[in-house]
Amino acid sequence: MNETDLAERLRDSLGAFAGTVRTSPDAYERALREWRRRDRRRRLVAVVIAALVVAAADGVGLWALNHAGSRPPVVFDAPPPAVAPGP
Amino acid sequence: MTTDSCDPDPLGGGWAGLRDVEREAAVTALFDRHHGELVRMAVLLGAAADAEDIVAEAFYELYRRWPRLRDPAAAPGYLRSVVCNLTRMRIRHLQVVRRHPEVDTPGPPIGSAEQEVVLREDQREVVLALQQLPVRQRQALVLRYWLDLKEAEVAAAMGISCGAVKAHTSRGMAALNRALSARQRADR
Repeated sequence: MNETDLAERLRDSLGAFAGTVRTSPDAYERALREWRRRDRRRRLVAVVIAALVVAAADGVGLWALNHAGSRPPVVFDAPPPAVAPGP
Repeated sequence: MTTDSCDPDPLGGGWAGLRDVEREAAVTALFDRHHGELVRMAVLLGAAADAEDIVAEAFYELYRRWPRLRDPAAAPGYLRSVVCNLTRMRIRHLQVVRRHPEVDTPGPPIGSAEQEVVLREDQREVVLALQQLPVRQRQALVLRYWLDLKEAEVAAAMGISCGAVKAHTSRGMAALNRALSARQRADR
């Protein structure tokens, strides 16, 4: 069989086979429900992760502040300079 | 304080709500236009009973990534590409499952009562021979000869180069020709 004949036969067979395929009438409603459910779930997961990150950052910050009180200051450890009296 | 005249909240959800409504409308329009064709394509590629689930998954991927889509005209090509990938993954999964005989697997994809009645013998031979081809060759032939896509579009859908599409198409046609000739000889 030459290539043109084979291509024609292939097109004909694929077209006939595709013609037997039926789609469900409620495919759109089911798909829409699923999109919305998964989208809500994705957003909820994102919010929970963001809340956990913020809570962890708060915890670390409070812990650091709590442990910093007993140490001498690092940046301004010299006594403040004397201010000359004004005229 | 008066309400701003350019209140971006006509639908009650702010800009995000408005964007969601626009996204849903755009994807719904694409669903109406392309769903049937994509389900048929998935069946031809070997998705069988999972075709609708695969296409629904492809539409969800589009729905999720809609804000990042640069050009809405690229959406059909993106959907074809996702359907091709998901179908290939499903076929590979079934091939792995079939190596374990204790697990029940679905039978061959062709053979429903309607297909038995509607398809002529010569058409059924071609479809059966097509289903014996490697996945890439089958994809190249279906996209090229059923959807009549250009080589570049087939390459984009399959995620491979144009050269690889040519190679898969030519090997697929040669294998199909061999299979059909062998069957004709066996029938004589």
